Amino acid sequence: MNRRIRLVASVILLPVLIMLLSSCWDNHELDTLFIVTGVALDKADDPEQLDITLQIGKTKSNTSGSGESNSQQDSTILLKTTAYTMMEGLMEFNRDSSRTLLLQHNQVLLLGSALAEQGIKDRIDLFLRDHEARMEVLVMIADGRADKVLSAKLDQEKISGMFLAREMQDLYAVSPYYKIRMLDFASRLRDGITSPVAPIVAMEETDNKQEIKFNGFAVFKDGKMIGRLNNDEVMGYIWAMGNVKKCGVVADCDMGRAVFQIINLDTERDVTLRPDGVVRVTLSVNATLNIGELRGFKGKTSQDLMRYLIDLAQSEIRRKITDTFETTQTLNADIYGIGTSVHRKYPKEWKEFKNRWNELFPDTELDVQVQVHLPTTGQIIKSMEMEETRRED
Amino acid sequence: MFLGFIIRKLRFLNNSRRSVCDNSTENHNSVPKQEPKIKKQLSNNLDCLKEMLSGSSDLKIHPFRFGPDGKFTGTLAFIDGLVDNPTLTEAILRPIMSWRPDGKTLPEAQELADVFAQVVLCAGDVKEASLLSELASGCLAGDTAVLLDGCPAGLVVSTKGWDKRSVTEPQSETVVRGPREGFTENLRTNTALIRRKIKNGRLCVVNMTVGRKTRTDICLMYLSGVADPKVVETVKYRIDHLDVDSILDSGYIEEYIEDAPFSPFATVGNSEKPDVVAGRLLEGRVAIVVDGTPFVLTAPMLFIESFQTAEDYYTRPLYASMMRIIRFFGYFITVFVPAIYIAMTAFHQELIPTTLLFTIANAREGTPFPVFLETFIMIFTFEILREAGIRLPRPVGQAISIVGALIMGDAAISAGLVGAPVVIAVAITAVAGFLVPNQNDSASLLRVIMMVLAASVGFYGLSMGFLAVLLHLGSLTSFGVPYFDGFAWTSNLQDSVVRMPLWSMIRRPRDIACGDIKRRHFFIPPMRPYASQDEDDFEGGGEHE
Amino acid sequence: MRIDKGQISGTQFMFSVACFIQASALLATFISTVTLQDSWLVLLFGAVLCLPLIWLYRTLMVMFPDQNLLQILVEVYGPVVGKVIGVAYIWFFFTLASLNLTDLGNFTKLTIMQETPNMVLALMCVLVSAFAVRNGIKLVTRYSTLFAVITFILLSIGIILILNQIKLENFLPMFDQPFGKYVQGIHIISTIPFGELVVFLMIHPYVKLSRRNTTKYLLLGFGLGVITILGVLLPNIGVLGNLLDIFTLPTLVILRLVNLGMALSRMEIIFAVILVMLLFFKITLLYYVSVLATAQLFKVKAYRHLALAAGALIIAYGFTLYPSLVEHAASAQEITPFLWTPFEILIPLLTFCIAKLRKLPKTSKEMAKEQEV
Repeated sequence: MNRRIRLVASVILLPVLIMLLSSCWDNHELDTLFIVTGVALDKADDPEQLDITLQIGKTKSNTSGSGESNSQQDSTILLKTTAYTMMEGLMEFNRDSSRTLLLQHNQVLLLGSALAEQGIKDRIDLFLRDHEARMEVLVMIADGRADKVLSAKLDQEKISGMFLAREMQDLYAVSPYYKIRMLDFASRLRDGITSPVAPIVAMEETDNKQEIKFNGFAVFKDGKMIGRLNNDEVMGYIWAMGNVKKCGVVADCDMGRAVFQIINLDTERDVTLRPDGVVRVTLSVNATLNIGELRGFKGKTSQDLMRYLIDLAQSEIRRKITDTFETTQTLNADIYGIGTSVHRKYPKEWKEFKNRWNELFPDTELDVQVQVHLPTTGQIIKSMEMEETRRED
Repeated sequence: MFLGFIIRKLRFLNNSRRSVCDNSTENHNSVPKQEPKIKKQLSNNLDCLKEMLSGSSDLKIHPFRFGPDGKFTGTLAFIDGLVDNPTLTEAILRPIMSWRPDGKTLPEAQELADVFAQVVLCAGDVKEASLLSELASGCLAGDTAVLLDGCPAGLVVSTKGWDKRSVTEPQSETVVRGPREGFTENLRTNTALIRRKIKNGRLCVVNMTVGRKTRTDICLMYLSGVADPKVVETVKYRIDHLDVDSILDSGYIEEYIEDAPFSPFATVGNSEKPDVVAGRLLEGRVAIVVDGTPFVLTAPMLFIESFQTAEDYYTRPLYASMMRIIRFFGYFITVFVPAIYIAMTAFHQELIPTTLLFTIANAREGTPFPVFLETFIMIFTFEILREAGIRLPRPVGQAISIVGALIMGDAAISAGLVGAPVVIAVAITAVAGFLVPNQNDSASLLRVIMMVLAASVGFYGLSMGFLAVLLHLGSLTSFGVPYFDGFAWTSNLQDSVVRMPLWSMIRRPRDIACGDIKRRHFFIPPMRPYASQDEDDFEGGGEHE
Repeated sequence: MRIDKGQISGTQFMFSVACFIQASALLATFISTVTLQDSWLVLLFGAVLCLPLIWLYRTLMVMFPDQNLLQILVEVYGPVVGKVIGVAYIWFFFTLASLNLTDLGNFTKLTIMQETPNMVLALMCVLVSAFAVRNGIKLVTRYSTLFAVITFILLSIGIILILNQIKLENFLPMFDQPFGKYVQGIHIISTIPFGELVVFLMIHPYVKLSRRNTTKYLLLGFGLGVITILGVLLPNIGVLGNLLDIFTLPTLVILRLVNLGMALSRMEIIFAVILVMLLFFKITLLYYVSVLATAQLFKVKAYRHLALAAGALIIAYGFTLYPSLVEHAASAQEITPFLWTPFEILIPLLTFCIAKLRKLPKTSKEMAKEQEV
């Protein structure tokens, strides 16, 4: 029985001692952490190196009096360094700062345009491999240098990283193809067939006020940025991919200018592969629109106007989609994933055409068919201008 | 050497209940064998009696003479304060004094006791005694001892009457709807209260006396035919073999007979309300009523019982089910919230949404202690406040506890000693703890253990702790019934997580009741017959098994 | 000889089988890296092809209702060969327990606790398991229902939350892989999650059912487990698409992607809870089976005293098995299926055939006749 007591005592004591005498691993108190909210990578003077900027959201102490102003300078800290890889940069930061870096709440990864043109396929390994890395980090390209965008002092938000995340959330409500996460970016990068895209943000300064604006999309090929789409062309891309909710369609004609609101726009894609390798893509766009605002359009009755507006919207949508498609063909970048669609529909034939996709893509034909429904005209049936015309008659 | 010290202290782990019980094969509470008998000489008897009661001054001896011409002498012995004086006068003295034996023959001195018991005395409860110790224990219980000169037997007449508390609303279990009677400290009142709820002849009451020095009376009550005979036997056996000096409260008995003395969970239930105890008796449990305390024990007890209040059965089932679920969440919250808070903020910051993280980090900035210490200090403060609130005298108590808590909390935050989220977390913990007051002791203990685990090994330690508690609960049995039942398919789910309507609870809990299992015969909602309708309309509601 | 006096019910048996298979669901990497987007097809085919295997186990259970695996081996092969094969099975059970323990340690380290040493994680798990093992089979399988139900609920919540990010096109190029990959995938599936059901041959005597008819429960539990693995594989493939094979823990990645409003994000706690719970159950069961088998083979009356020693052995053994997670995963794809095949498929099949040939089990009447003769 003595043995039994000894056994019980040692079994209880030993693990307790193990756990109490050594430190608590993994224990990071919140006030020993720097919460990273944005990462910016730029091209350094040495082409092998990177300029790394980290934006830290600074925490304010509640007990140090309530009379502090909300100046932007107090909200973020920017840490900068230059290193060969991202991990080395992080190690330098950790060595030189008083707190540990917490990457788990990083909102955005900004890449400078010069770096993007140089090639980023080999630069993002840390963001996939590290256990603190998350696939939902937003990827964006900065027009110019990324650290300038990250260090912008905005009126709307104190921390520009959070601002970008929130902005993206709004745009995500318009169309899910606006929000490029690390997952989407890496997926297309790995694929090789579809070209990755990423939104471009730029910092503009007017009257001493800094703002961040969206400037279209950047188009990549093989990890290098080869071109860009402006905001209109981005519309064309978004409409071609479908699932759009809150956009606007602006149609201009000699009778006036009509602005429509998209309630719902869906696109179905069908690909046909011809034996010589030429692909014919058929996009069937089905859109439900609302008349937002009309300017002009004198001398039309309501029924005529409806028919006219529907035709106008359809041609406008078709035009934008075709324009963007032609731009991508010029860039020779398949941003729509047409190659993947062919792969899914014709798996056997794709094996031979896969390597020749670079040459085959510019020959791809596009056929856009748009169907627009205009269920209502808003709160008024006739516009002011139309009313006048009738009285004159 | 240090290990040897610990081993010596842990030696009590070695002794099992069996060894104790093997030594005491006899009933400790039985009367010792060599006993002075009542002799014919009155003065001898009186001296012996006085010596047995240590010559106490509240032992009143009242000699009297009775019979024609005061032929016979006798003595009344009683303890002042325990007897009801009017009863004493009316039931004993008056009939004795006015006894005029008719006829020529006077009874012999030896037969006087018989004559008294059957003819003279007007009391309902008269016992003949041949041992002086019976007279002594009768006096101590509040009866009057009647000694007759020349008679080798004495009488013990029941004249109990002392100042006792009246039946009031119990303070530990209040209800909004339901009976408000509570037990008192008097054994017979308590058994009477239970008898009033179950007017059934099969309700057995078994008397026992426990405690060498206190000689406390206890009663076992159970419904024969419903209660498991094995459980009844076990309870009787365990109480019979109790080796104690004193029983001052039912808590003493609970500690001596429970199945798992080292577990934080209680395996013997208690209650202060007769309707609760009656409900448990009807399910097949055994009630142990202890003289001197209003808390009645019930065995066996299941974990689920702490979450069932009496009011659950008197209010509507949907509301009662919702309250039941809230109580479960409350218990979970009170045990785990401090630990989850520590684990999240110190180990796994990635699980908190970003904006919330900034709020908590802002509050943490500038506070000196690590989060485990902060939480521990706040919980410790809360326990101090709670205990102080119970011990403070009533007039002062409420004001100080409320003001103290508010001011201490607020001042601590302003001084920067603790952060506001910690105070909120601990406040929620504290308030949720009162949802299940029966398990307060286990909750406090487990809370601290979980906090230590979470602070050292984070979320993994917390989950291991949770699994360990689950396994411990699963391994407990209470008098042969598994403790943590009620959640699996196979057992009685109707009354555990939700309370199903009463008309659906057809059977008693299978683990506890044996024999008479059925409560009801139908499983249909109540019918609403109108007096004017014909009987043919009710054919749909026949007997459903 | 019944060492353990406990008895478990049929539903507990069914949920134990379900939990056992569900525990492999979250570690489904090794399946999905072989056959990328067709992994779910491979799973379904594997499940169908394993039905005869389950039927084989069930037949053995029905033929020898009161004898567990070691006793069956001794009866069929004779005392010497049966004991040798029994020792091999003990090694099999110990290895399974150690592998799962290191899995738990490694995956916890990867996801939620990065710096805690493996020893602490393994020690805590084994201590709690030892408590359950000492109390017998009843406590070991007691919470199987709870774990299975909680897993279902949490998994359903996870799927609902990630539903809007599943793209059906990611499943599409079907049957695109070379045929050999499919065969390899099916082989892996039938040995690693499903074949391990052979351990239930050790505990079926404790199930209290009339005529030991455990078929229904075995099949139902198997079905529940398959549904769970499917429920994990399908969102993995749907959300990740072509990135499926680069992640060590795809389920964790997709749960991190959940973002419904700003509050419902960062749901990897679902993953952590399910992982710890299910792996704990599997480790406890394998631990119990190892201890039981050892006690039975060496005729130790009280197996409880062996529990802690076996626990220490499992921890130590686990640390010597593979140097890193990479070798572990690589071995799981290539070597381990072949190593487990004799234990899970060949020996039971052989046992069944020999038992049929020798007309075993002898019923009591036949044994009485033999004794008379």
